[in-house]
Amino acid sequence: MSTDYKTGKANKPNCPLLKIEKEEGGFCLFFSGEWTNSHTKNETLAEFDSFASKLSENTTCRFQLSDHFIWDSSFLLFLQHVEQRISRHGSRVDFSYLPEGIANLLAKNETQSLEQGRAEAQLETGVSFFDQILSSFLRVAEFWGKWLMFLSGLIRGKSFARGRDFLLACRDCGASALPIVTLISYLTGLTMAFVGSVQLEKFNATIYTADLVCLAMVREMGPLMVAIVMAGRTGASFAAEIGSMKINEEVDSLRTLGIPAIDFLVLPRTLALFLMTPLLTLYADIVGIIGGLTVGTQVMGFSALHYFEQTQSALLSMWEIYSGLWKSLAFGLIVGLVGCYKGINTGSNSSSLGKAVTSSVVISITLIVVADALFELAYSYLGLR
Amino acid sequence: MNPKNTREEIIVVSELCLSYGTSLILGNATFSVEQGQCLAVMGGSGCGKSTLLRSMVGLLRPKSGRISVNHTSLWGGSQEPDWEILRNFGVLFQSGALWSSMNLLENVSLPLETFSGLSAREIKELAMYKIGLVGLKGAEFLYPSQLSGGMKKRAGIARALALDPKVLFFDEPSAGLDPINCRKLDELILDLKQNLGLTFVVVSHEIESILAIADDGIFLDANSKSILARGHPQTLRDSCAVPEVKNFFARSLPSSVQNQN
Repeated sequence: MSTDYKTGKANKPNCPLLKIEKEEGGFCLFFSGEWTNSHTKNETLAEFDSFASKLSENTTCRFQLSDHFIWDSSFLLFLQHVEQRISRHGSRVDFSYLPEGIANLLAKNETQSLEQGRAEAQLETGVSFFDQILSSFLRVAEFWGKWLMFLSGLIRGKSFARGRDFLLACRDCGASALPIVTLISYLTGLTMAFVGSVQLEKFNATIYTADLVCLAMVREMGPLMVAIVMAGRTGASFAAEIGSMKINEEVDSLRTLGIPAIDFLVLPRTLALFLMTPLLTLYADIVGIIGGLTVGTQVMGFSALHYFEQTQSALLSMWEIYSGLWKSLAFGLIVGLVGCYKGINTGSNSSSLGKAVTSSVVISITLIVVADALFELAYSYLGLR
Repeated sequence: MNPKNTREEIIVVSELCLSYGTSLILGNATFSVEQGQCLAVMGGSGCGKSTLLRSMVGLLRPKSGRISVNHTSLWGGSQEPDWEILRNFGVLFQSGALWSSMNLLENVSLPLETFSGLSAREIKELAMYKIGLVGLKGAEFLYPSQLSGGMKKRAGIARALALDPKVLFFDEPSAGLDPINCRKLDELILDLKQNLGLTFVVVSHEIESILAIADDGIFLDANSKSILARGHPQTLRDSCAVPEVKNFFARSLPSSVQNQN
């Protein structure tokens, strides 16, 4: 009796071919063709199953390969499957006709599991979901507490933070951010002027575009836009910088010298951002108003002086501007603290660094929007609007 | 050789237990480091060598036990280690762990700027001297990313030496180095030991460099999570009866693995 099992693409040259021949005391499984991972072997295996199910006990299956047989690891896996199926039916497998290399590899794959004891030591994760939430809250609280502690140390003149680092951070998150802040706030002012003028034209009150742009910029859009740019630009860079220092053991080497990372790395950065965000916001307010002015003079045909006078009259008091700056102080603190916290708590590999950077941006922006809403609520309850 | 017969024990570790979370890394370790000696911490990968080092340099609080340095406990009652003690330690991390935003000179100067009362000019001179001491003269203004692996380790040593520590801790000094650089590093360690009288704690599994530099050694084991043997590396190699230690020095597979093959 002789049965041929072939895969679907039998007409192709070198396709994997399995031929089963009956011989004395059992069967001979004759493999020929190219058994590499360029052909799927599922069909062959399925057909082999139907053959294996008919095997009677105590037959011996012998494996044999053709001359110039080409194989890779997928052939080894196929052989393992075949062996499992044969021995499941109480038959024996004879590897002795296989080349030595294949037989050795098959034997090795079975014996080389991880040494016991090592594996079980790693598997202890007896931490409940609740504990995880609690510990993450505690970590945030610890970070915040330490930050306040080191800040008070800085005020009392006992700190490892260096003025040079503070100035560098100021430059990085302040002056270097001017181009992007300029672009974004100019376009924001411009867009608001366009949107506003279309609505106000219906009431023949286009000059009030100046009021609209000015108030929206100083109260809302200025602080918010700057904070979002800072979150994406500076917060992410804090997280990435401190996180890679952590991975590189640089934070550890600071610590062994007795220099706390929060004092030396976090404090200058957060304070720089705390200080620079309001300044950038003030700048963004002005640029946004200029954006509105561009539309007012070029599209609506007001004179620049007229537009400015209208803008000035919209600002009832300096509080309009200060209220936005107070917000931006809080936003700067949020972005700086979240970025540094995520950096300090990075794990020890590069994928956790990526996660830290992503979540620093996401959390910063979320907190910024929440804080903005809280500020507006507080202002309106206190009668400050 | 040191003429003193009785050497002072500078670090005494007693019944130390270390763990990460709930998994025990090292249990009940007791040993000491003598003044002016080089102690090698040996063992296979994953046996807790580096963890032991981390707790000795104040990065990981032990679960229990005591590390005392000159009769003062390193981990006192609080969560933080005793910073005064740590200031007498220099640490070389596996990758050098230089601060990548600063050049070599700034890296070596930072500890001095922070903890010494010297003037800026003195600090620069001192930092230059330390950089010369490890053979990196001329590389002062290079950034860590511009240095080769061997140079990074040397630079790390220069920074560790900045505050003139009494004890130097090296985490796998020969990891990732070619045999020649590895040998040069061993020479440097011997030099420093002889000329400055420093005490060393070296974590390593490089047999040749252990034999070259160490006066004393402890052998950690991953399975029993304890110290299996203690003694001069040469003695351990020649006459230790513990099979794991024998296999380590002979680079032979344990018998259970041999049977499988």
